[in-house]
Amino acid sequence: METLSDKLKSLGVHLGVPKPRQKPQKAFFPLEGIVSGGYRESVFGRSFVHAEEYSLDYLHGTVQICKLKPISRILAWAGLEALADVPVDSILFLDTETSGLSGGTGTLVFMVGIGFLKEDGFHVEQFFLSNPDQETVFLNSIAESLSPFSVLVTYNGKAFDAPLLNTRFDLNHIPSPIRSFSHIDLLPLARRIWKYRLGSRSLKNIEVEILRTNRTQEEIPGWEIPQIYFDYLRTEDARPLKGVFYHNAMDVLSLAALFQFLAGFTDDPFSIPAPVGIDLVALANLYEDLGDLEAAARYYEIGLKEHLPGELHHKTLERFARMHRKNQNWEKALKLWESGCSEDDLYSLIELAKFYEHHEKSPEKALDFAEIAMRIRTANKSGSNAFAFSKLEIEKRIERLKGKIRSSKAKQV
Amino acid sequence: MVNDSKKSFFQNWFINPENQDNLAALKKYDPRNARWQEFPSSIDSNLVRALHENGILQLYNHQFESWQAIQNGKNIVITTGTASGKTLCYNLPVLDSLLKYPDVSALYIFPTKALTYDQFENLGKVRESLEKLQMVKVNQLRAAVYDGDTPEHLRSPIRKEARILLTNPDMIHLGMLPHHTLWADFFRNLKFIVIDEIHYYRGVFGSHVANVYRRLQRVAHFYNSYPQVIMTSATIANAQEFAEKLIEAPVQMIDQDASPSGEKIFAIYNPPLVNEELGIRKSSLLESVRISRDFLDRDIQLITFVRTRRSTEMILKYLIEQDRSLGKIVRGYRSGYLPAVRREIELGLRNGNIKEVVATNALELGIDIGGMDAVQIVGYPGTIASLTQQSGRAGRRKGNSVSILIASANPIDQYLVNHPEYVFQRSPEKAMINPDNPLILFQHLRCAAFELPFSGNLQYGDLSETDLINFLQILVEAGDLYERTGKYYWANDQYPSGNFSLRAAGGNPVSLQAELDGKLRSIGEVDEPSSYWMVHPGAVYLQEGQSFVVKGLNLVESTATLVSQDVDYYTVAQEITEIELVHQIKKANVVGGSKNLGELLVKQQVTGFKKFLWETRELLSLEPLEMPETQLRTVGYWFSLAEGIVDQLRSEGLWQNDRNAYGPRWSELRKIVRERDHFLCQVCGRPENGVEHHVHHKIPFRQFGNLKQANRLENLITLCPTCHQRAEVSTHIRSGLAGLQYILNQLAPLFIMCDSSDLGSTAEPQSKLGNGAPTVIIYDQVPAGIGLSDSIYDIHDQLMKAAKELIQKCGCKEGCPACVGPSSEKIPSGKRETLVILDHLLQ
Repeated sequence: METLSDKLKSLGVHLGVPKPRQKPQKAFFPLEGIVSGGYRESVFGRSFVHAEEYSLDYLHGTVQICKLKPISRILAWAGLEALADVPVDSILFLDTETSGLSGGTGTLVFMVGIGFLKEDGFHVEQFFLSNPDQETVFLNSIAESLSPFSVLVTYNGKAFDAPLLNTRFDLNHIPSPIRSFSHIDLLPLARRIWKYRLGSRSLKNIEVEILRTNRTQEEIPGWEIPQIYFDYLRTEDARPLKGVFYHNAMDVLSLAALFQFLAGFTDDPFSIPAPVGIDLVALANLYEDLGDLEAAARYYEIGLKEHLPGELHHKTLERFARMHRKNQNWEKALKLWESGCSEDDLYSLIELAKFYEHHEKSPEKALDFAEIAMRIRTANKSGSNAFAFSKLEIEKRIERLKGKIRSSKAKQV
Repeated sequence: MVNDSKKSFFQNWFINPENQDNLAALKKYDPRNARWQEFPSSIDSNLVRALHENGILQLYNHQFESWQAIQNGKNIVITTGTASGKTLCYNLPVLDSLLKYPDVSALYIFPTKALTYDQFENLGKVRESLEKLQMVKVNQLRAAVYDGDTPEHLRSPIRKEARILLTNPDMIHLGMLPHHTLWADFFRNLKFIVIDEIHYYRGVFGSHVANVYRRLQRVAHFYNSYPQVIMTSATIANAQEFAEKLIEAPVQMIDQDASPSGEKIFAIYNPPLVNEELGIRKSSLLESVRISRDFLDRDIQLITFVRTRRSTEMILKYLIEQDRSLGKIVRGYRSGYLPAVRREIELGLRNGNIKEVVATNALELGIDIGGMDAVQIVGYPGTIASLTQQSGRAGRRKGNSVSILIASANPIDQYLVNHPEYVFQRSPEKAMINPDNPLILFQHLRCAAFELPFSGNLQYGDLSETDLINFLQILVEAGDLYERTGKYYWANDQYPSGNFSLRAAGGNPVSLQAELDGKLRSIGEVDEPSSYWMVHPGAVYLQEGQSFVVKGLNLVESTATLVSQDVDYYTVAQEITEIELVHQIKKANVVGGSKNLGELLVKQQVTGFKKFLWETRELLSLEPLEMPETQLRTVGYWFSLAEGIVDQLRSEGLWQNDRNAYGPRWSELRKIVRERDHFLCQVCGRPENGVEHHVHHKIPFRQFGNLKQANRLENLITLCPTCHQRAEVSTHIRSGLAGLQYILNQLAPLFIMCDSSDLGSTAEPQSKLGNGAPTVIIYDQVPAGIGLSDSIYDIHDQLMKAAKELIQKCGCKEGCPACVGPSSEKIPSGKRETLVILDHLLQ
């Protein structure tokens, strides 16, 4: 008699190679023997936790995690100014390991790593779901441990970790503690600051490029993690999990270090060694959005003096001048446009044409700039912003200006 | 036009000989009065006031009945006619419930997006009235469409606020169920599930939808919800049974239509024969153009339904070529038109500015356009349910209307010409699904496990626990699930519902790209296995009378490139089909043989193709092809002739041919062939013994258009009289079987509600399946089958009877596309031969 699995195969289903089920070996490599730690008791049952402490002077790359920096700028960026007086020990750093990246109810969170500061140093605790049927205990024990904290810091947690954890709590009919946190997700801030400098804004890359730290041989790539967990469930051989614990702990440490780095950098960029012009311009832009125009102007200026890549240079010029124009600071704007003019900056030329036409009521002068703009546009110089305006646009402007000049001459006659 | 003159126009039109002579059937439906009921006092009084505002002062009987059944906790299916107010049957209990308990939620499922938006607007009108009356807060009756087009930023608010959610099965499958915790509040309060137009959910799509429903139930139960189900359906033969199969629960049917209608005529028009012998009729498309002009001249508003998007454009083109002024009042309507254009056309129909719309079935479902004076349906639309829905577009509450089916040359059309009762009285077609098709089930069980672990009471729809555990164990072994103490958890990093679509059985459809008007355009698609024989390189592909030559078939990119080209030849793929029996399911003796049902393995390979001249059917060339072999594991039905019958056919000598005129050179040719064959019978080896042996045409003489081709030496062979008769008989049996295969394949969809392309068929004169007996096999073109063959097995007798009648009544001489099929060279089908076999299969 044909089995169901034979039938499915003959219908074209790829069932793959049957997976090993090596339960008998479990005595040899239990989790406790691989990762230090133990089962934490709660009213709901036992749950595995691995804890580690880092001393006050611990350096993660170039960053001393426990050395506090003012966090007001980060809070302002996150729209959480109200938390200005938040005690540092209510900030929680969190990162999860999951059975997949797709989200949805079928994706398990099997590890939650948290980090927090205490008087004696930085603490990392990792909760591990040793089996899906223990999820309620696992989640309850996490919920219990999260209760002293009020601010949550993650990397991409708004899109990933938080919704997944909420889903897990909901499925287990436990009120999700995540929903009651003030949540700071550092990913969008990192994107803003390093948009022009780093090809990848992944935490891994920032570790290398910014924090200057390296992971050891123990590190395993993230994409391997789901399979390691599934294999562990089937074989109960905990050895490969060691790398997962390491990976997660490093993520939590780097997250905390990145937080401190960004706090310091956004508070005073010269508090870090050798800040880069590109980063300063990005920071100036952030200050501008936060309404601190004075600080913005300061770093735009410094940035422009540095050797920025062509396109970014023009863009910065434009942004900076626009900020002045918006605030009716004509004198400063004019100065920038004129400097742009000497660099064949198309935007500056058009702005000058506008300025003389509307503000100074001098169509002749405006026409001069418009015609220079046309020449540059026609020359198609690359590496500049020579394509920011179409020929037609400039053409129209020139025609209009010529018209104005003619009619004013006619009036004079 | 005032009604009396309209009535007399219709009367005159039908007695005009030009029309009357071609009328195959006509049925007059008397006007019907509405049967009303007062609003039950239990309905929320504000809702009643709001409905009054919208002109609804009373309920039809069937709406009242639906209300009561719902109040009694029943699931229902409503099958009353087009425009009979089915929508109110479900909106009434849902809105009433929402007004009384503001937290209640309802899920509305529609098969198409267009229908979803249309019903959304409908619902909006009642809501507006309620809001105007200030009876409800704006958000209380929050209804929203949630589908693939819903902008990302609206999704989260909709999830939080919507109480009535309008969506489609695909979205539930892909977006809602795998993220059900985001809908927790919605599911906790889910009281009603509305499934509109369930007849749409048949076959593969329906089998998928039934599984989506099973998953939906599991999730609802997780949130302690046990919603009631309200369904609507077009008239089909098994609406209640089908509804019960879809939701796996008892369903009460409400089918007594109490809405009013004016006098209505339904006619079947059969275009006149232009070539009786070949069974060629006048084009139904051109006939419809003529009828359109008759109606438009008299200001009769009408819809013309056609089967394909291209026909829409062709009719429009013909009409406007004949009279430019028609351009303003005649419009097309099909998928591919922008929504704004569609809305404009719908409005034009309602306010009468547009006089004719030439539409595909895009206009068939739901869309509110009011009643038309007339509807023409150009060619049977594939199901009686569609036909009835399209025809239902004609009809005013008061006043006369007509609908006309213009038959095409397809067998079902021609069968209906002689069996109008199937159209006028009762639909013979049954909708079929097989939610337990192992392939479909397998895919959905993965999704279900992703959504919620299987634990405790292992249950999934009506699947037995043993079968379920069997599947779950396989998934455990495949590494998809992790089992612990009888609980099964999803343990895979995939998102399983993203892996397949509900609307395709699998495989990539091959897109047909042709250069038209200077642009490369898609003219259609065929599934990959069919592409091997339909659009192989060099094939002539016909679509709507236009011929294309295939330049290339790219199976990696799933495209075939075609060039529009008028050629004087056609191509026939040479295909080897081999059918193996995997496992016999059923067998029964029937008159003249046996009928069977079993699992089959169908192996097919296209090995080459032949080019034939259109005019003479002369073989121009045979070209080899290398195409991949396809294997289909499915369920099939077959019948084999009893051994006695074959002998009987032989001895009866029914097929002593009329003497053919073999031409002036015949005696000379005979001699040459006999000499070539050394005067020996080429089968038994017997020498001539005083009497000359016969010379036989391997491919029958009448298959050829000219003497020269038929009398080619390689087509001639020397046989003794006994062997000659045998050869003749087996040729005839082959012809008869081929004819039967063709007609059964074409006709079965009338009874089992599918496309003829959903079925595969083959005929084998000496079949392994029939222990060497002549056999005709029909199988589901879907891996593992979806119940079509099972049903054919059940209606074997009915099908044979229908086939015989159709052939007898067909006017052609040697067989035509409308009965036993056109002759092809491989196995020429014969009308007489088919009839003789059928005689033995019927008493």
